[in-house]
Amino acid sequence: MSNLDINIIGSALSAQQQAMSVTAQNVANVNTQGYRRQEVTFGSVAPSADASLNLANGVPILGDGVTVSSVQRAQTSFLDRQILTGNQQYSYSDSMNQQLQQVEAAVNEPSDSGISSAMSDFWNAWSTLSTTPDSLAARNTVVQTGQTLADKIQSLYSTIGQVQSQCSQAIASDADQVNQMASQIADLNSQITKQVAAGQQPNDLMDQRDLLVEKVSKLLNVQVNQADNSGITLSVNGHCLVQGSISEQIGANTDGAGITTLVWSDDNKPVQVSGGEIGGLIQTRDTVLQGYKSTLNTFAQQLTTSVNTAHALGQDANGNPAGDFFTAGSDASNISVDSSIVASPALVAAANKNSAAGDNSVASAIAGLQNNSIPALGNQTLGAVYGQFTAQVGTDVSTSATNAQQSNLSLQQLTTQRDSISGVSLDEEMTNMTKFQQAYNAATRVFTVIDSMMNTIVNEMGVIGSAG
Amino acid sequence: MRVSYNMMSSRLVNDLMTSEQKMVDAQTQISSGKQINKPSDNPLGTAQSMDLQSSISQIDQMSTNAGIVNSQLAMTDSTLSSVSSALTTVQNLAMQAGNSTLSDEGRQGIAAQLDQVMTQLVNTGNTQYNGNYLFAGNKTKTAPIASSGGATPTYSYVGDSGSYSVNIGPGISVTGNITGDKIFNMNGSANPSDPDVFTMISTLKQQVLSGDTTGISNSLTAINDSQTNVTALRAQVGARMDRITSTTTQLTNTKTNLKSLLSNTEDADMTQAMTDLQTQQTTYQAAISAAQKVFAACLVNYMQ
Repeated sequence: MSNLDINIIGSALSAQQQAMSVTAQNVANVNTQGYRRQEVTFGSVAPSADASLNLANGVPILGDGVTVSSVQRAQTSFLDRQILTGNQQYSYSDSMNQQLQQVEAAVNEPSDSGISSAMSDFWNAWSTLSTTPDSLAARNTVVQTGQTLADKIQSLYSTIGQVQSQCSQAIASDADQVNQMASQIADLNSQITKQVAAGQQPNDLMDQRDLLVEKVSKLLNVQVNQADNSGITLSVNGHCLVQGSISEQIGANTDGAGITTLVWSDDNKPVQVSGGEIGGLIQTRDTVLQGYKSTLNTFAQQLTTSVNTAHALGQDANGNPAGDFFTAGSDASNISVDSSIVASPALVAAANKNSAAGDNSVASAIAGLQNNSIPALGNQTLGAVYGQFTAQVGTDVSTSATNAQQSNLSLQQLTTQRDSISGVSLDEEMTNMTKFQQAYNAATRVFTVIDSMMNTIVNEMGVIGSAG
Repeated sequence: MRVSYNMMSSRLVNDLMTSEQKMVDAQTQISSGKQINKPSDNPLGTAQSMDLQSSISQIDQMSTNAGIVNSQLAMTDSTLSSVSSALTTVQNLAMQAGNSTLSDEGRQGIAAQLDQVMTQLVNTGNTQYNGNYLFAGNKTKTAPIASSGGATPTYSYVGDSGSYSVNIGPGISVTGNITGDKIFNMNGSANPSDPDVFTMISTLKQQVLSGDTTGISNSLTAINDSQTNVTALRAQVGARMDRITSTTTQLTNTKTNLKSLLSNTEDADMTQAMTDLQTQQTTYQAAISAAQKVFAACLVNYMQ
């Protein structure tokens, strides 16, 4: 029994207190995003190497008490890497799905107010004109339904264009976020490296850094490498984004057409994005939506050409040779009924050239176009081509939704696994708390006993002699 | 497996979300009555439904067209019927005039009646329907039977041979008009050996006035030919109307089939949707009450 024993008790009190503060930290952060449970590892303090110090009254000392040998984050590196990939896949499909849903809403099929039904109305108007070839009222209906059809095509086309610009804006703002997060990660890298070098364990900074990396992985395909000095390296398709305390910047260049492309600020080379939200946005904008536009353009061009060709064979209600019905050379962006016809529906032709007013050949022929296979459309009718376009939009939306759902499921699975390892369990913390409290109480009890023993020695032994 | 607080809460959130999403889906089906509410619900079904809808719309239009042509043909038939009865009057008058015992007054009376029938036939030939001349071919704005004027007018056909052909079904068209030249044998277009009806009547009038019984008898033959011609035309019109009726019936049947196909493609299975909704509601409530129990069962709550 000596001071050493009291020191052992002191070390126990201090270690249990430290452990308690880790428990407090864990409980406090039960809802903190990115927080990983910290674990206390106790280590017994070995007796001093100097054997002479290890004898108390000739009895060898077995140990110098207890110390908190480490406070480690619950490690999940393998899962972390998989979660990064999962994030990229999920954000890629999800952002694509979000954008395409807007186009799907604009397509508005099946309904009685979509392009398909406007097209039926248009053909029906021609058919009605064929029953009353000299009627001005029937001509008005032809012009009005033609304009409605043209407006609907234009409006869908312009919605697709708007979604494309939204993609571009989102790409630019995402790139901004990547830049900010990259510089924060570089910052954290240098702090962590310094603290680790000073023998500290900056768990909370590491949590912050991991969370940032995860956020970056939602935006683009990023690869993470752990460096020896506790720093991490981030790269995008081989090009460095963060190395140590240095981060590269991504520049967003928007051209005259509003298309944003990403380039590396250091070498001005394009950023090769293939995953994450930015990847999904680029794929949506440049491939999917561009494809829709070109399908709609072909559709509008063939509609214009076939109606105009049939119309040009006719003569208008005034007996003059007919002009174009739709403005020649239109595509989906600007298709409209020719302005002179809009101004004067009498210019709509129902009759063949050089025939009398009661002839309806042209009106019948145009009404019949709905059933014509058009070679430029792969021998399909205009209606079938538009039906396929709609089905394509539907397939793209449902595929991207399914992909997003699947990657979300596997992401959930991975997150659950990780939470199982690194998440805070209140039951566990409460158990630990009780454990540490009991240990603390026990240590104080030992101290009390030692104290009482000291008291016996100091105050009660040899009383007889001293009292005289 | 170690169970952490986050795990439980995020799993609960995910499960509730999934369940809510399914409830929303079932509810959308029930409230809209459709299982396809947007293309992604069923891309192929959407295209099919659009195709069916445009076929139905086309059939509706064809039925409207058939109705329009049919009423024009009905008008044509009733007009031809009055031509036919006018010709019967001419036949009767010619037979009366063939009787040699007729007095001069009697002959003049018959001639006057023939003039009346002539006027009636010219008017009939220039019948208008919805503001158009029915028998003018495609020259619907021109009265087809033109008079030369004067005391003994001659008549000519100034319409054309244009037909008014209207689609009443996919690839099926029916002609909605008869041209006046065919009705009145203008330029021998029906019976090349006979004169036109108007010339025939004015010749008959002269023969009646002069008591030329041989001539009258010859004219009677020509009048009979005209009557036969008009009867044949009426049969033609009747045949066209029959064709319209049968095509329309067929279109109506097709439309019924298409509508039931469309309903199969688009319409929600209400029983299924209601059951789904019920199941999801039960699942949702069960998840919530389970969560209440699980989250309440934390050691914290039992510690002093």
